[in-house]
Amino acid sequence: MKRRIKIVDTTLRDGEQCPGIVFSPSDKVRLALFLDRIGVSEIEAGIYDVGTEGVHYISEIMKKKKQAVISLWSKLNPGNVEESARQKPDLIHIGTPVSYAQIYNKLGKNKKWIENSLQECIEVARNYNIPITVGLEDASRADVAFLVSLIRLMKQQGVETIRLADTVGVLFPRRAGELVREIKQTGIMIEVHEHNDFGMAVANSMVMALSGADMVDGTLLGIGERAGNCNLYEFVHSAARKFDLSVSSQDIKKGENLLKSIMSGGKRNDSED
Amino acid sequence: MIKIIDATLTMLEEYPLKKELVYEFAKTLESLCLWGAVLTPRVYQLMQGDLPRGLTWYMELPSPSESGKYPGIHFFLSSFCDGTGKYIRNIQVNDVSELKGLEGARTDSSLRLTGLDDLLIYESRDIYERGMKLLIQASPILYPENSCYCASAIAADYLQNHHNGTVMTTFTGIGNKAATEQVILAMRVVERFKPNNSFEKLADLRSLFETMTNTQIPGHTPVIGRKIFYIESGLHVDGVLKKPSNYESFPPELVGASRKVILGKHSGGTSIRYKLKQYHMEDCYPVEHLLEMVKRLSIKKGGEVTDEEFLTIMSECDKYEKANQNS
Repeated sequence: MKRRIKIVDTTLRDGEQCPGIVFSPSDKVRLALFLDRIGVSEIEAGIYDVGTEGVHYISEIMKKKKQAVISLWSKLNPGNVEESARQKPDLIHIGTPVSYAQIYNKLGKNKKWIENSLQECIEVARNYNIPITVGLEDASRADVAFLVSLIRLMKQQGVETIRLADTVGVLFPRRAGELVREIKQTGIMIEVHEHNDFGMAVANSMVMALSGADMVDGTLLGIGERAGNCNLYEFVHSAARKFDLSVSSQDIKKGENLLKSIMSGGKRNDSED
Repeated sequence: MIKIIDATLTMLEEYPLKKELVYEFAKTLESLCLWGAVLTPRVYQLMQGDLPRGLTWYMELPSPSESGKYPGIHFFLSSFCDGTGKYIRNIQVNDVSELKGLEGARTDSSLRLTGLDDLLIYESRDIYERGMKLLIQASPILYPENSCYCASAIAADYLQNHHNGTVMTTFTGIGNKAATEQVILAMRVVERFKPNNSFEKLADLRSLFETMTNTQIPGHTPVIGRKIFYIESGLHVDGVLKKPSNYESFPPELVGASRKVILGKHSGGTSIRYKLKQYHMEDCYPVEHLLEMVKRLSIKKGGEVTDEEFLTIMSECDKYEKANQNS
């Protein structure tokens, strides 16, 4: 019997981060309901943000979806987590910088601040009775000892799943597999999130799944920042022989066609894509 | 020493090639520190045997008996040769289990293994480890195929495990192969391959390839896409402006690219301040108001807000401010 790997689609969140791509609230509802219908396990519907498309599309997706877990992405900020929780998604994903580059250079904070902020965020989500996953941002460049200690702390707080985010796409198959095996020893569920800067996102996701990851993130057409994310069609096409994915590559292809029709409907000044 | 051989020219048989462009393409490969290049008899004839000297030249030649017709070619690749002297024997490997055949391979013969699409999709880690060990022992030229979308990763993985390994690749992965540019940059970043060499000529190679094939490489193609260093989202712009390595795995200059801040739905105040600074107007406009107008326009048009449109927004903001002052 094939091992189950849950597919997490992040087209609506990380995919839309691709410069020049804009989804309207109705685009998001159409795409989310399609992904739900074809069996995608989790749909990251977006970032709580009243300043752009608002939040009503989230409640519409929640009302109409049949089976997928609908998640919202939140910054490592108790206020943001609370705002996300008020939208009543199935899950909140808390993006948590973990590399020294992100903690010290980008945030200007330290590891203790990360630990404290994370505990506050977990507490807020718990008060709303909404499960969370913690996204370890830039995990591929982080100190593994810090990752492990943070994961142990999270487990004590009831967190069951973490996301290993290869934020700048620097993992290669050998290190990708090692990282999952190292983190797997903590006993936490692992979701992997690959970027395609060197064209390795699909292969890395595959090796990480083979090394014990439980969930794999990707986007339709592989859209995303820079060179994009793990291309869902390519991953599902290759991984289906090894894993039970509950979604077929043919259906993903139909999702790509829907996405193309949505993108061509907008007046994008992008003849190269 | 890691060796990367480019076989792009063998994939362009159907295109109306010009000698000058092919020559320039080969010269550019040389400047990128590639070990060698592969061509076909047709491309050789087009070049009239005039090949840049800095590369080791290989030729796909089904019939090795004809090799005398091609002076300047160092090695010939064929499935019908014994792999000695100037001849490299090509073997198609469809499954990692077939690597067992390498155990009995002659140590004095040269091999190229084509295929191995599923090397990284192994049944068990043991099978993968054994396969990799056999590959390192036999040390063939590895020419992975991309039907599982893992070819570049397989080539990089082989070179990471075998620092005297040789891989064969094609530019953009044309012909369902590993992509030359991805393998070069991967080796540069993880193995410090040619640390003093600039790879900015990849941008020239991209243009030459586009001209030869009359195609346009998508903007977000790894390593060579024209838009891979475009940034829009507030978090990323803020991080990159603080320190580029926060969100970039290699500097754009390394591959002949440049960074650009795009305005749109996901922009933050940092992007607006950055653009205002470019126009020497940083203290002249209310950032939050401009940001709101940028987001609104981006959502309305369904795409990025161009610099021209931003200037229009700035002038509308001026009018709005003046009207408010007068009222």
